[in-house]
Amino acid sequence: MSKILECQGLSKRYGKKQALKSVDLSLESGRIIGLLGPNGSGKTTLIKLINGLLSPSEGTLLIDGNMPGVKTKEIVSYLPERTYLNENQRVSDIIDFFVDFYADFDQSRAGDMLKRLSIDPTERIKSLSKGTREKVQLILVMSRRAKLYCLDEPIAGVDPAARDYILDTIINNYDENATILISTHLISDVENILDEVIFLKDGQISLQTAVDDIRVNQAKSVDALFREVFRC
Amino acid sequence: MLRKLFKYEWKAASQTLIVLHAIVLLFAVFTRISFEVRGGIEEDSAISGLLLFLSIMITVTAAIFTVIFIGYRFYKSVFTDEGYLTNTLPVTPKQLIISKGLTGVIWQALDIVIVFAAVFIIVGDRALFEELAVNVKKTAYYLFRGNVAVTTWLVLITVVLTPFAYMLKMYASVSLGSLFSGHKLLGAVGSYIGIYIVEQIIMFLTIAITGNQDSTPTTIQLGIVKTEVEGLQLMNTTLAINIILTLVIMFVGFFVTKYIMTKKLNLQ
Repeated sequence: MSKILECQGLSKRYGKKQALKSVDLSLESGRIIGLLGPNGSGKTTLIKLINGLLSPSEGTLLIDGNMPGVKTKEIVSYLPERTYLNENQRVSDIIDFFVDFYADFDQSRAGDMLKRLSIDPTERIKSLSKGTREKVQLILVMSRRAKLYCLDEPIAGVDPAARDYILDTIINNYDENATILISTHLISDVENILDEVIFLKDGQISLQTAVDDIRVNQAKSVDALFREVFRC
Repeated sequence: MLRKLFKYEWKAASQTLIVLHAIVLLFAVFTRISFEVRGGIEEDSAISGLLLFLSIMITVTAAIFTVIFIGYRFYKSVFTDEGYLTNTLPVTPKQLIISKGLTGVIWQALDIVIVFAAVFIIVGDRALFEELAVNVKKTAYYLFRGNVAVTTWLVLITVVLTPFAYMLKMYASVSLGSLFSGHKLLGAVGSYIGIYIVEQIIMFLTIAITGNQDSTPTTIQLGIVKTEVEGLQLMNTTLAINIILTLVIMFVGFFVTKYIMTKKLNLQ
């Protein structure tokens, strides 16, 4: 398996606060990986670094062999924790925008998903509920045939029924060779779809292992192990 | 990609600016109708006076708003939540600056054209058009003949460069403001004022150094009319310094903005 992401000595400081401390990480293609940790553990910082929204204070980060830039943005599909949609635009406008900028965007896939979720493409973003906006963003992100998907808290703001749909969408809409990195603290909801987990604690990786190892060798669920590791 | 970025930026910025400038022209038309109904601009009329006042206010507001709006659009699409999309597009910061900057410059030029159009709608008549035509001819004459050609060219270059410099100063200010941990907009305004003060100090010092020149009168001849102008040399020097300073500001503004977007982007 080829490596889609490699970090060496990756650190990020915000003033005096150290958000990531010399992280060494390697992710293989074709895996669904959970990036797990409590609030403030550095999950979002790592995802922002991957997407070039932050610059590392130290260390290197390579995506498919390239530093974050135009080439990596062509192959990374990113779902941020917040809404970036322009409220005055219609859903169809933003679909056209993605078609124009991302060569890997599959318009028919987006159309199917919108239909299944009964989202009218002619609706303006401002007339949609918060949950529906999040679904639109997820549809945009999962309609790309990317090599690496970075999903930051994809299920935090939606109801449990929608969570199931979102997770189904994630599983059913990615190519076998693609990697999905999901950051969340709602572990019990996602653990059934994960191949691998990374525990982040105070800006450092405290564990990176296959989910099967946790289940077989430690006879625990990921959720139970998380509660044990991050007990307050 | 640059073409696509420009297309979307133009569309997004123009939605608001077209409406605003349509209002400017509409008020100009109302004012003119009111003047015509009352029998000319010289006739006293409270309504005409009020419409003229409103027209001037709206035109001035539109000009100021255009510049601020373009700067704010840059801040909003790059450094707020919308930046999560803008900065993850497979494009370079340079392409983003150029596409947004070009839209801004075109709108500044359009704003000037629309202001002129509004003035013509309100007070334009045959005599005004004839006078304008004469002045355009005079300027064209001075560009290629006579000893004020240099001055005329320098003025023309200044006029062309100014909107570009405005844009890049604003973009650099907004980018510098984004480095502040809170109050990013206030930081942008502060940065703009800082850049303006530095610019004025450099201008003042340079003129103080170069200003002590021989001010031999220059003879300007247009047809059979001869005029003697004093201090033309000094004016040329000032204009040339201003152009050099404007170019420096443009380059520094561009590279500061590009550097911050590439190395110091900090979306929180």
